[in-house]
Amino acid sequence: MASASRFAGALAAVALVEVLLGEVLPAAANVVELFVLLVVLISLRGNSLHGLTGGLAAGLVQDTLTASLFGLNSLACCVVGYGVARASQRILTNRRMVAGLLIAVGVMVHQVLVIGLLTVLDIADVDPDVLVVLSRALLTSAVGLAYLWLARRLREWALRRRTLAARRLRSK
Amino acid sequence: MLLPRPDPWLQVRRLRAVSWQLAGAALALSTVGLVVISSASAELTANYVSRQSLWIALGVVVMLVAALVDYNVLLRYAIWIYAVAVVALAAVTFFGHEAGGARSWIGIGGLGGQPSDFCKIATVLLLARRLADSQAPVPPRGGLWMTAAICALPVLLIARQPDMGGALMFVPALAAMAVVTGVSLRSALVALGAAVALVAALWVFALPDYQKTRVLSYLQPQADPLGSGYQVRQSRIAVGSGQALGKGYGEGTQSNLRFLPTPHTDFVFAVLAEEYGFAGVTLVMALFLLYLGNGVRIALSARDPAGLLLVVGLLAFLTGYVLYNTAMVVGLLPITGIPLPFLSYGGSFMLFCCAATGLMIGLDLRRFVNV
Repeated sequence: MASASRFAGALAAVALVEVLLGEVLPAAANVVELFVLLVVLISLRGNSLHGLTGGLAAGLVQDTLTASLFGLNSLACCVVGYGVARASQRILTNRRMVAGLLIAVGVMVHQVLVIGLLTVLDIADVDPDVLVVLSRALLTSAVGLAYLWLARRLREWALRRRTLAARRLRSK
Repeated sequence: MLLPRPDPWLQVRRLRAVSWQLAGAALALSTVGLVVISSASAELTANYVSRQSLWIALGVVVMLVAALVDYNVLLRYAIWIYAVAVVALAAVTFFGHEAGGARSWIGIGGLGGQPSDFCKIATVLLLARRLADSQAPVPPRGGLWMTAAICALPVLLIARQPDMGGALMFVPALAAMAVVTGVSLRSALVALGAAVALVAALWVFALPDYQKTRVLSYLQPQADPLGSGYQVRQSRIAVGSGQALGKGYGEGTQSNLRFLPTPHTDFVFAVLAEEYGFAGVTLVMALFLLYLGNGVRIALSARDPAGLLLVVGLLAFLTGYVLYNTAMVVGLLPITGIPLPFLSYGGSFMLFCCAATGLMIGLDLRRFVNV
């Protein structure tokens, strides 16, 4: 329940940021794929069922908030979540570079799937721009790495505080 | 670099224990629906087949997730799932998009899904948990009235949209679950009396004129054949003209010449009957019977009362949709916006049907204590 509620909170926060960015800076909202980043981060720590479920939930929220076809991002996020979760069971993902690489690959796979589905299903004419896809992947990866760095620092800081408090208690 | 980690996903091997008839029937019905939609929407501008294919693919994923998540976990957090669903439904009822005359669509950017479909599963989950707990030595507070209130809240919100058909579908689910729980005759009579009083009050105070006209045209379809009785008249012509083997793919004049309203959604059964005749209708009905029969088998083999009630509620919902839609198309019941499960065009309704199927498969997976 704790991990599910943490995920729900993170999903709500991402949705809020996306809506606010869409209102204030529409260009910035398109540059960083926050929903895909959330799916990758969840899948890095969980199993493939977590990846699939997280991808489905995040994708459905993304579909609701964006003007895209209902179900398009959901399907793409499910594939990304499942793939990252399976990969994270095979390789060590606590190294930051590996996590960054998985985020970048996840964003690229998501973009390719969305463009591919739109084209194959003949829903919309899309003119894919490789540079845009690559820049999205790199920027999302950078944001993800910054988040991981910050989260690690915060965890270390909290651990130091707890240790100091315990020492003080023992010395008394 | 290799890091072997235990993965619940590997429990997919349990799927060998599942009867695939339920999932197979659902997928076969979806495929038939896709064929009928492609014919019914040939003259329409939007690409309905592509969208429906996408939703079927997503539905398979939803089915898989619903089957692999333990239903006991969902029952444990049913109150929270219900709360989220009701809040989403309330938000949509007052701030949602309007389409087809009902304010039932969520979506800030474009047309998203309908939370009322999600709310159906949430309500069944909470009712299953509550009714199962009512058999315990210390039953939950509130008794039958609280159970009725749990059902009434989404019904009132959906009726407010207004989507009377969607609201109506809660009745068979609640009735079936109450019967399985063993509701007393006195309580049943009180509920029946309350339902009659509610319907009378709705008719006098709440029902819009167009819905009253639909009911009146159902009683006298020939009174206004070009107005309120138009839909049912065209639908009956379509069903009757199909005869034994139908007119063939894409040859249905009622749908392609646009005599039938919304041929790809609520009247998809009429298109099926027109193009594939009695044979096509028999095949689809056989698939529905296979699906429902397997559902009943899963309900009977459920290892706890909550699981039994969950399957009964979901099956009652789906059976209600099938019976009402087919009866509506042939003029036996008033016309209202009720789609046919797995066949009608629609994203969130397809996801609802697939999630219900997945939950039943998940229950089937866990019918043995040691699994």
